[in-house]
Amino acid sequence: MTDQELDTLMRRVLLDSLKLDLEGATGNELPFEPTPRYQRQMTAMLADPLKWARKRARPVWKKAIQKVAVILLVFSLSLGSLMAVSPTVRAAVVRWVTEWYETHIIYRYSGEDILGEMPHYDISELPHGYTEIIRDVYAASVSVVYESSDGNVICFDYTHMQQGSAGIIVPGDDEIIDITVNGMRGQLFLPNNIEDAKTITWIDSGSNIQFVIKAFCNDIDILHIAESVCLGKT
Amino acid sequence: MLAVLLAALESDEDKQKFTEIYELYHAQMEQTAIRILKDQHDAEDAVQNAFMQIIRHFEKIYEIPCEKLPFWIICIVKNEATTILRKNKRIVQLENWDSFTVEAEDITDYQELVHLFSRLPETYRAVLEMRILLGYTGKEIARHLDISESAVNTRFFRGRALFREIAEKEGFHV
Repeated sequence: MTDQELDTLMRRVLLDSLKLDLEGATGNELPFEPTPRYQRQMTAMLADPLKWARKRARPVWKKAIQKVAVILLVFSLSLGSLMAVSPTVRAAVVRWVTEWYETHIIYRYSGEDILGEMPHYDISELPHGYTEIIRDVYAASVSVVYESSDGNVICFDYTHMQQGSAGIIVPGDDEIIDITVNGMRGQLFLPNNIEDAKTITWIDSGSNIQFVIKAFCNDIDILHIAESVCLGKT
Repeated sequence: MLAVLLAALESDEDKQKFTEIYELYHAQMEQTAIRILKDQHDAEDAVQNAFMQIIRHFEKIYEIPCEKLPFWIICIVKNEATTILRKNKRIVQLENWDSFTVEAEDITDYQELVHLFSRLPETYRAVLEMRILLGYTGKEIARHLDISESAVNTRFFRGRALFREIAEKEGFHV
């Protein structure tokens, strides 16, 4: 038997094995209940498969923020007692504690749980050409991604500071500058390479929310973007 | 690179074919993904990854006989789901190839051969499906399965050698 004949026969056997798998499915599996996001994605895919594929194949906003990784996590506060805290900065009204470590900063929250849904914030003064492409709304946090026509992105996350959750920023060797955004205290993370993404975070103690923006722009522009964040349509 | 790969989907005819494929098979793909992953979010990812692969390898659509097309598509989504499952588990199960080859000694007809291959150790079957059915390169398979390229080659050559041995012993033909 030649290699080609062998491959042809193998192809047939493998396909028949898959057919066997399908025939063996019980039909008692979990139902597939598509989320609105999935439905939107599928609609976009059918409208223009190439555009959809290019967009999906280019997770720029994921790759780009590796330098200043911003990870929003939800985890038990009980872990906190095991960690060394040095130095600890306590907010005037203790709804969060900022813990500075050598490699990362934890914003540990202790506020009340959010009542109702997360508010809808927008960046009102986006740089030219950017549009919102993703808005993931969770119980106590929201992640928004804006994309420009040439593929650049701005990531905007905000989290309700409720007990049992925390925000983590891993700044690497970035320069960290204390700033204020509309009078609210925060930090600006400036990478050594000016072409890397910059990150800005600030806490609005009035609405009990921490905001984080990552963008490829200069420090003035990212401050301007941050200051334009406002409650939008719900 | 992607632009080159996607050239096959530029024409209206291709787009129409793609829409047909979606309409005919998306439900089956979604069921396959949720059956393997048991998680809605992961299943949606697997189906979308599978459509990415279909788009990337769209030129192959025309090479697959119509009656085999659903299984080719299911193969893609199954392997995308398995990839996600392996990443989520972070545990690699040991696969005993030697005990599997013992089972192969009892094969006497085509249906038994099909049954045997449906029970291949997970990564062996995935490697053979990805290489033989989907035409992925060794590097692509390694990335999907999170194993080395040499591990991919080992699985491919072992699987193929076993198949040849059975086929020649039992006189199976194309």
